[in-house]
Amino acid sequence: MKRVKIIVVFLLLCAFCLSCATPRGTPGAPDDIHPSQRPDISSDEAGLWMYMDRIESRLKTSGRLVTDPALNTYLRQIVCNIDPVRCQDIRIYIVDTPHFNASMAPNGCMQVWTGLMLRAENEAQLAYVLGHEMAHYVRRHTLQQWRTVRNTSSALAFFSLATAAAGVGFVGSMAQLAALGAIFAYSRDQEREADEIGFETMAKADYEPVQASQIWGDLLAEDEAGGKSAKSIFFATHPTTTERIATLKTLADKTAKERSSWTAGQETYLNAIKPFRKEWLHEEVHKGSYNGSMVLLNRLLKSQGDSAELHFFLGEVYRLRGEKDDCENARAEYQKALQLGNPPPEVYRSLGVVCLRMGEPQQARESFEGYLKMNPDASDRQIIESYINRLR
Amino acid sequence: MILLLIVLLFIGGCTQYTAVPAERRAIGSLYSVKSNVAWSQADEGGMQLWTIDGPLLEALRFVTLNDGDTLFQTSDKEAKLPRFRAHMTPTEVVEFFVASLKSVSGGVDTHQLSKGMVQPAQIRAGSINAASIDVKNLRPADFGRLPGFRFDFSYLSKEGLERQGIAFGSIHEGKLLLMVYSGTREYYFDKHKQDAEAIFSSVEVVK
Repeated sequence: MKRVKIIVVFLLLCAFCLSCATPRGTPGAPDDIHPSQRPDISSDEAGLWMYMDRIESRLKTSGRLVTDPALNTYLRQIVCNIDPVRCQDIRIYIVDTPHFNASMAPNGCMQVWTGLMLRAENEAQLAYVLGHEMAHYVRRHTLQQWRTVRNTSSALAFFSLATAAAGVGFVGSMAQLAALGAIFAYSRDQEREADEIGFETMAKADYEPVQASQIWGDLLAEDEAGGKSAKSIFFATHPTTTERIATLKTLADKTAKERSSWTAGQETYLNAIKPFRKEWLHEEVHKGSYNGSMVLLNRLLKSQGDSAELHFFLGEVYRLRGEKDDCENARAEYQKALQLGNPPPEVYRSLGVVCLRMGEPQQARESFEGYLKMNPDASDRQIIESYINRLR
Repeated sequence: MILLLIVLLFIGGCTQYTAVPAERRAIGSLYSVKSNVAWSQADEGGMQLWTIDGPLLEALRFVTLNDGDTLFQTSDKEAKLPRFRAHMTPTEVVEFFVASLKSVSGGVDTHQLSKGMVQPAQIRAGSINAASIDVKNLRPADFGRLPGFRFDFSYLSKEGLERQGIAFGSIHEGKLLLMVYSGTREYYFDKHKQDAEAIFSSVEVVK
């Protein structure tokens, strides 16, 4: 009997030890990065950090950085909500680029692109994406990938591969920025792990669980509408599948029951991005992925309500795309913007251009006059006056 | 001998410049311009590039586009670069110009990528990687005997260096005729601005 007890105790101890020691992810994966940890100078990881430090120093002087203190502070608060311990080790860079992307370099350099901030509908969605990126950092996924690739190619080839892998279609040159973070595509297992950890951290910080699958689903829908050339650079380095979205939904269903109220943080979020949204929408519609932009704008109209600004930019997408019936579609959207009140002055100018193209000189002239009335100090006043004079 | 071959290969890979004397010169078949000072000229994707101190410091580019052309060329067949349309107003030409610059910009460095990267042709220079592009003062301007337009622009290069420029053009016979003078805001833009202005004023449309 005594012998049986000893065996039971021994087995229980083994089970306890195993549960403590079993790491997440693949066997042989490095331990999680500890707060304030820097790699040993003689390690291969130190070389990787040195490389990323050098690239980060170039990022610091990029003309694309959004340096607004309020927006940067807001983002830091979200990062500290999801990981209060490690957030002091993270440097956050907001990069003005109209594509959906966020990345986390192994040295703690986090990039958040404005295209992601435009697409997130609330704080919970952004918190999930940032939590997902933090998971790649904490689990040292880049180091794992480096070690895997290094075994089969030289370090030089690795870095060439790393940067080239991120190049996709239209956003080819954007790859250089992406390369600063997720230096090349994570494995599907790493993505699943980052999904899981990102989800746990957001839920722990009280963010509404269902928002995690929502943002991936919305991005996937936009990608599919945009076609191959508009493929999201984020998906190029973060392979996303419908299976992963379904897993997140299932997790959300289970977790949502644990508490009666969760935070989506939509109002706080929209207020934080309000000063920048017009400029981000302008960049979005001019990036050339018209079908994807339409999906995005229609979604924002649905979730954030009718607004003159959103109808104006939807009109801009039609005008710029210039396919059959697009002039009529553009004009209809501009007119909706005017009916809603408080439209951007540029609505009048764009309406004038569309009417001109449709062979309606009187409406074109009136619209151009409306533009100058709304915007008497416009920098392009002289050319608009020349259009008006020609149309008289 | 090997060293000599390497040097010759290196020289062969460099852009070839020829002197542009201070005299009237045809730009394609549609117009000519006259310069008051000597410039150096290089071929850039079939377009003329003129410079005095070097294209990264200042350059004057002569762009002629047909309906459907892009300002830049790319080896990526899937890339959707903005296309010039003959029906465009000057307001839309400015949009086209800015969107084209943005479509080939985005990185903070260019030395690492070559595969799949957008390769500017009509305007091909290491400095094209623009951020914070700003356009001002779009206004009418005579392009020789043709009604034309001009606008000022500025942007930050990939190194964060401020660059400034003037674009001067017209749409004639369905073609966009555009001269683009640009240089570093510090010193070089101003240094040859008057020389560029003299060229803008000297346009004579051939047909």
